[in-house]
Amino acid sequence: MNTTLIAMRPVVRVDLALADLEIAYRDQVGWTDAYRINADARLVLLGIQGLLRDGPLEDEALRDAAFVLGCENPSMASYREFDTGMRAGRRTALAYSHALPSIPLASAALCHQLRGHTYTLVGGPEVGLRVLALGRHMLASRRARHVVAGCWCVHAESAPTRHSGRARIQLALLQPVAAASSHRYCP
Amino acid sequence: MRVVVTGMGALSSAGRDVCELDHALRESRSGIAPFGLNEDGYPPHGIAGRVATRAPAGVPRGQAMLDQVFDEAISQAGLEGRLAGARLYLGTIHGHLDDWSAARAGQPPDTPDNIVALPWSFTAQMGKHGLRPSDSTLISTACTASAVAVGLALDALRAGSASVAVVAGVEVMSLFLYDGFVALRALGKECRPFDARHDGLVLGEGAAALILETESHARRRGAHALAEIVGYGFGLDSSSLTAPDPSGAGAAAAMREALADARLAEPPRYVNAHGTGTKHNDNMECAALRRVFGANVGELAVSSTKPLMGHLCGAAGVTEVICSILALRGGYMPATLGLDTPEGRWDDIDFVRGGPREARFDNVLSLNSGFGGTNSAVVVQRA
Repeated sequence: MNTTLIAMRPVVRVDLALADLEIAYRDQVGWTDAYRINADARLVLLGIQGLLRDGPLEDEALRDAAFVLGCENPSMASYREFDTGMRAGRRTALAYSHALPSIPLASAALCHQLRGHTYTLVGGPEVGLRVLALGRHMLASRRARHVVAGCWCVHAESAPTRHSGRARIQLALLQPVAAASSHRYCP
Repeated sequence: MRVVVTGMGALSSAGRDVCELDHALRESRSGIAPFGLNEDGYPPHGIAGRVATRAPAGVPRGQAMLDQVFDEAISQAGLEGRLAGARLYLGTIHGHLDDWSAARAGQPPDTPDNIVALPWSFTAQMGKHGLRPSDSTLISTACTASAVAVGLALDALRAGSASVAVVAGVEVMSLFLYDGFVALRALGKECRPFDARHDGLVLGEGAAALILETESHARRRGAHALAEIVGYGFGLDSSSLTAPDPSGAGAAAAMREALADARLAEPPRYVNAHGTGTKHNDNMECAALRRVFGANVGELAVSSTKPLMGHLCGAAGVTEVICSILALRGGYMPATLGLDTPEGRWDDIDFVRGGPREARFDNVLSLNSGFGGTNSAVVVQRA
């Protein structure tokens, strides 16, 4: 077993009402392309903005970091939109192209011009543990020097407006202990 | 640490198991067919590569497809009932979307999500194969998903996290999937990768599974190594959510990383390309090959196996790694069905066409690309 010691630093924790997500996104990110995508994409972008603001990595290091994000029910608004439109005889290309679990992270890759490995994991409550395990493997195998690992969830509670509900994302920075100690924080 | 393949399972319109897939590759026989009449919602003239799998009541069709390929791969590896502690890496895009969409059909459009089964509820079903949910990683990186699964399993085994990994991919045909590609205007009248008349892709469905083991574990239990996985790479386009970067930079980055990881004694002689048959993909992929191999690009033989079964989306990666292993072991390079006249601008690339080419070679580079700009490369070597 590889025994690389990994430091984990929680950096971002966002827990907002869906309506407040839109306000926070507008005020803190504002990348207009994401307005056409879905709330999941805006949430992930908001989280990464927080990482840039509060985390220890400079822009360049962040671009080279690997991203491993997990979600139980990703991009459901886009899935619903395309499915509902299809039944009404409307096939909306944008709705389909955004109805993929990986689109929120792909949006972040596009917005921030990421260069590292980016992986979206899906599944039940165990997905967070799998995210951390994968992040550890990526460091152990030297696929990346830093891994941004986290989970997000957009949960719409009321239909049909779906404006009530919560949007949550947590991001942590993983890196080998030796690298972590060379940054301005010390674990 | 070396990682070998000891079991394979495959299900697609090209064959109900690996043996049938091998025959289809050798005979250039396609399983793509028209939907025909009496197919709810699908146009009769539309074509796709579908399988005949019917799931028992209460079992999602994708799960039934996975069960079949798991059984085949686990049996070949001789690991029936001996998967405790094994890791599962499963790639899919939409999971059980067919079930989700069917369940929504009987509900008002504003039905809350928790009323219908969600598409990615896989792991609870894996217990029957001896795999635990806590050891299962479900990857969704668009059409690279199951190729990424191969790479992540490779790294986990090299790191010593486990001795055995089951790597799989699955994608199920649904009206949602088909209409989605209609909306994107991405479907072609035929699947003709790299041909001057290529006009789009043809969808398929299927599942595939590989058993990966550390070489030492396989040797200890006397298992036969079918091939070795020696390299993996990943690259991002970061240029568009829906179209590949025409420069091929992301796919080239994936290839370079995989080749560096593999440390081959000599460059690969055969490339199993993603080769969807869309102009965007085919152009990007050829540009990427030129970026990596430069003036030597003509020394590679390149083909796409998608015309035999359609584009299996999340299952494409593992399926095409299996095609690569069959080619390596069988001493042939599969032909690209439907490729009559390559586009003139790629006249420096040696496409395998007209029929399989007999050849002995020691390694294969298998490529995949997906929506959102993900690109993956896997290097397979003779064991």
